[in-house]
Amino acid sequence: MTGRPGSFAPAVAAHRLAGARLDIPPKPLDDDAWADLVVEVRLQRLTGLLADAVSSGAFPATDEQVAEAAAAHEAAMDIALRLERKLLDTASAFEDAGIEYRVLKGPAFAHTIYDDPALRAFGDVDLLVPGGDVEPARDMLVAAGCERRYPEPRPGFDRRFGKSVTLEAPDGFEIDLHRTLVLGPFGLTVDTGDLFADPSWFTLGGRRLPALGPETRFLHACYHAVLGEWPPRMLPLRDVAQALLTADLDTESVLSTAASWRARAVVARAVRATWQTFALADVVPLSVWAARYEPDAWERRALSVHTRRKRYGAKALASVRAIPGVRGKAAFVHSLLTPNRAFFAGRDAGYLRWWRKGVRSAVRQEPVR
Amino acid sequence: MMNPGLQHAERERRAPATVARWGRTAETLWRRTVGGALVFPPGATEPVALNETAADLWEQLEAPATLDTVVERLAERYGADADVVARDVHALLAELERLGAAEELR
Repeated sequence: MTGRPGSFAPAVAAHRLAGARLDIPPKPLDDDAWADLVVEVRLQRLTGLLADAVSSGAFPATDEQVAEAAAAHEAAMDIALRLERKLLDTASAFEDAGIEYRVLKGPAFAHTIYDDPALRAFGDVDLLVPGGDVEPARDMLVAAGCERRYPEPRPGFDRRFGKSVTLEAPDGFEIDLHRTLVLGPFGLTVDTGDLFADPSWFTLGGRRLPALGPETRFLHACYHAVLGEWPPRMLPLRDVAQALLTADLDTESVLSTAASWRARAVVARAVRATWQTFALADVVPLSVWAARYEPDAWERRALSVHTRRKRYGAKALASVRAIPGVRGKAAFVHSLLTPNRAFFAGRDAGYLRWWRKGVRSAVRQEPVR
Repeated sequence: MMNPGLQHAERERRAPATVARWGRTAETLWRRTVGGALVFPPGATEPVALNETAADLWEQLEAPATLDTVVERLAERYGADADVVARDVHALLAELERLGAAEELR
């Protein structure tokens, strides 16, 4: 999803990014090309950047095109504001219950690494809570009317192994309650204690909210960019560039934390993809390091499950290697091989199909650089 | 000659405590849009779109300011008669106050 060949979406995603060397059209796009661009920009949540680019004249556009971009942007910001209200309500509830949390991704990135939060659209609320608080936080949201998207495979799975619990609020908005940053082996090697150390703060609706500190925020941007969807989407890559180029990052701290999480390959891949997608001219210590980094065997295997779409089974199986201790591995495998019957509701699967998918995923694993 | 921004700041500093200032309510969420703004005050059921003029007023309320200062700044910006601008500002402030997005601070 880093853009169709010939698409100007990467140039939109790089708008206002110093050092990006992507061509913009010399004159307004024709109707068909513009329509294609708008579809892509909406899908990739780049409407804020497009609206700013065309209204400032940085990206040539007709008056009608500017109006269309403005309308798309306003619709995206309407959603962002509603989500921020939900975030504030949820944060208040957690604070009242004594549940520690960190705001992740969309709202946190918008208010900490972008000059203007209007440039960064988002479509859900992501909150990180300590593993021990996943269940009370989840139960509190369910009691408030949220519905869980996918049932827990086995009791205790969310708390011990889960990446996040996805809940749908009564108004249809989604709240992702995270225990760690990503599904799969890299999510299990994150020291979640690091995520709660030294938060950065931002003010929203008159309240101070905690987000990840600059270094862990950058690492999360890298995880989201290259371990989420494959190929990487442009907005997460922009987040990587934004977090790296606009914040005063401690490179040594980034790399030592990444090493302790066994995730240097994730950082290298995210930085390389960002530099390549936006044709960045800037040379910074991390871009030099990323260009030279060679993943080790464990990292290559772990990365391989993130290069195809929707391979839940492969990610789950690859996770086994990252779980410490035989009992932990056994509990994880048991949970996924013999989940509760309710786990299959909504997954369009039964026991047999689940097993077959798991076996197929296991035999398809291949090393990727 | 003192620049206009400093003149405003000086006037704000000297304003007697009894002169009301206007500001945004801290709980209001908002975003810039192309040529306007969206505001979402606490208690509202949905965000409200501000047009360009209202968004300009909203910008002026980033730091609490007296009505006179807001009117003077906007009149200067638009090159318009201060009395005309004052009428519009009164109406817009009343609407923002009704929405819960702005408040008079004493």
